Amino acid sequence: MEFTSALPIYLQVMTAIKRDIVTGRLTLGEKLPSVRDLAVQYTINPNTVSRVYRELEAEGVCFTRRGMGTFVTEDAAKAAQMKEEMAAELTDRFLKGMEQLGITGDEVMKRIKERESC
Amino acid sequence: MLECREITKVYGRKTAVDHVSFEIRPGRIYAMLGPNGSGKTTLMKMAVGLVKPNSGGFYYKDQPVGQESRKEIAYMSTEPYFYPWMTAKDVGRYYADFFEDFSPERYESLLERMELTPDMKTKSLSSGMMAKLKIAVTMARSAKVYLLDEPLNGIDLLARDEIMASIIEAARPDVALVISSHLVDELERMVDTAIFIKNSHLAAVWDVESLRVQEGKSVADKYREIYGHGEGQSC
Amino acid sequence: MLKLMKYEFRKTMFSKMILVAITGIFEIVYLIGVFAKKENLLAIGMMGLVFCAMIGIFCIGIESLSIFQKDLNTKQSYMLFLTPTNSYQVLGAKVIENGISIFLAGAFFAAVAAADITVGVLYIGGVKQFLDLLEQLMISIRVDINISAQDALIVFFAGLTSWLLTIVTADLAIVLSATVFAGKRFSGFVSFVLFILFDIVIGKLLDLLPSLDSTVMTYSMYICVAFVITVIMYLITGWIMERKLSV
Repeated sequence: MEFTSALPIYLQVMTAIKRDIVTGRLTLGEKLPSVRDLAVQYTINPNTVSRVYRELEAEGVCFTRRGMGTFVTEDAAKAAQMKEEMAAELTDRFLKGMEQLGITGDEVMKRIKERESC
Repeated sequence: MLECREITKVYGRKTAVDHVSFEIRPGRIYAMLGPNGSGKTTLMKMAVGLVKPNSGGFYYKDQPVGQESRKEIAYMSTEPYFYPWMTAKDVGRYYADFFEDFSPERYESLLERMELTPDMKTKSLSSGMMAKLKIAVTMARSAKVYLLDEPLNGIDLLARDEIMASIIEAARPDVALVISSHLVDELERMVDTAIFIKNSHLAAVWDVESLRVQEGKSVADKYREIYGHGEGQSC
Repeated sequence: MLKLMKYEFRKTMFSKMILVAITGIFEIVYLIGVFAKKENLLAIGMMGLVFCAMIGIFCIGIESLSIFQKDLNTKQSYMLFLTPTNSYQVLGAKVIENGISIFLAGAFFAAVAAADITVGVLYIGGVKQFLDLLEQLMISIRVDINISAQDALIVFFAGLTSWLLTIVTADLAIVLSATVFAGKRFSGFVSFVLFILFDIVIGKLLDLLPSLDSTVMTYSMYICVAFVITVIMYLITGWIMERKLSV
């Protein structure tokens, strides 16, 4: 995975994991890779992975069982909430980008409908 | 854990290292950065006793480095150094003979991952293969400190992935890895802390995440800032 | 240190095998000379064997020094100096391995000589001159042994000590040159010059030793003094390697 230098790496990994949960690539309750395995997988520092899991756990996205590893939350509502948050953020970014181009409101809606019917 | 205190090395009229002090702590991966000739290699060699400083010194667990510290510190040089009559297998046996923390199984597996075979003769290896052999034999040790001088140099892309994987695999809470490299971009994601050496001095030490948070810069950006001619300059 | 010695031996294995091979060739020539009663082959074989013995043992000694020189002045030094050993062990291993090699080589050639002489004597019973010659040789050896068994032993130890002193002197010269001229081309030349210098100085020192009543006493004193000088130089060399030498 390529990382942008604009954001800290741990945030980018967190987003990637959340996206996987929302899209269903990671199922609820599924065991996440060990710190070392994820570090090797992404070719990043294990300390960064530890931080990722810590922050995700603080947000309630995952939980750790001592001696067993880290697991995705089993709470479907949490997943739905994440989906909401990510969708909202994407929408905001889209609208902002369109606004910068000078396209707003109805024009935006028209374009979306056009795309949809393709 | 590994500390250098006001270390200085002079070669004739050239000062290679000038009163440099820093500390390497366990559980972290360090990048040692700086252009050729800045003193990085000399520093690493002094940490294992290959080069003797003019003043100051390296201390491992508060003792001056030497015979005992070499049991727990693994160094990989940029230059090839194996005896020409050896095969890859011989090199492994040599390391097994002298280093208690050397794992022949791990060595075999690393050789395979690097697409090397035990019967290859060191004198007939290409520079790329030699570089891979050096890594394999160094990472097959379970040392407490790894000092790797340009481990990714001259290595093809696929083998680089293997090398980076083996470096990450070696990272543990009680282990420190110091990687000196030109490939700042590739290293950045693996590293906790960046040590910048410039003109034989210690220019700066930056925690990678702090750098992004406090200054919004990547290590590569900081590198350009320190060694270039100002901010925003591209190579 | 045994492990170090193992690898010192392996470094010289190739040339030792060459020596054995060449000795083998001359041995075959000699044996053909004996069994086919060709005097010239016999003579060539014998001369060749003596040549091998003398030059061979000399080369074994020199090779140890040349390897040491290479070990200190090329990157191969990393093999030795990255290991968790100290310089005293490294140096000691080299000296001891060299000593053992020379001793074994000497024993090997002595055994070959004994066997060859026996074969020659037994087989060329008819060639009276040869038999006489050998008989004379045997007698003179026997006579020497009878008269000075003790002397022979002392001479052996004196030779051993002298060799040890020479090797350690050479090692010190090599280390000094490598410390100052690390890796430069003329480092070898400088070591050689230093060695000659040290050798002369030590020679003068040993000449100062007074002659005692018996040869045994004189030789014993020489052995003790030489040994002490050897130990001192070994310690100095080790210290320089450990503290001052950068590779």
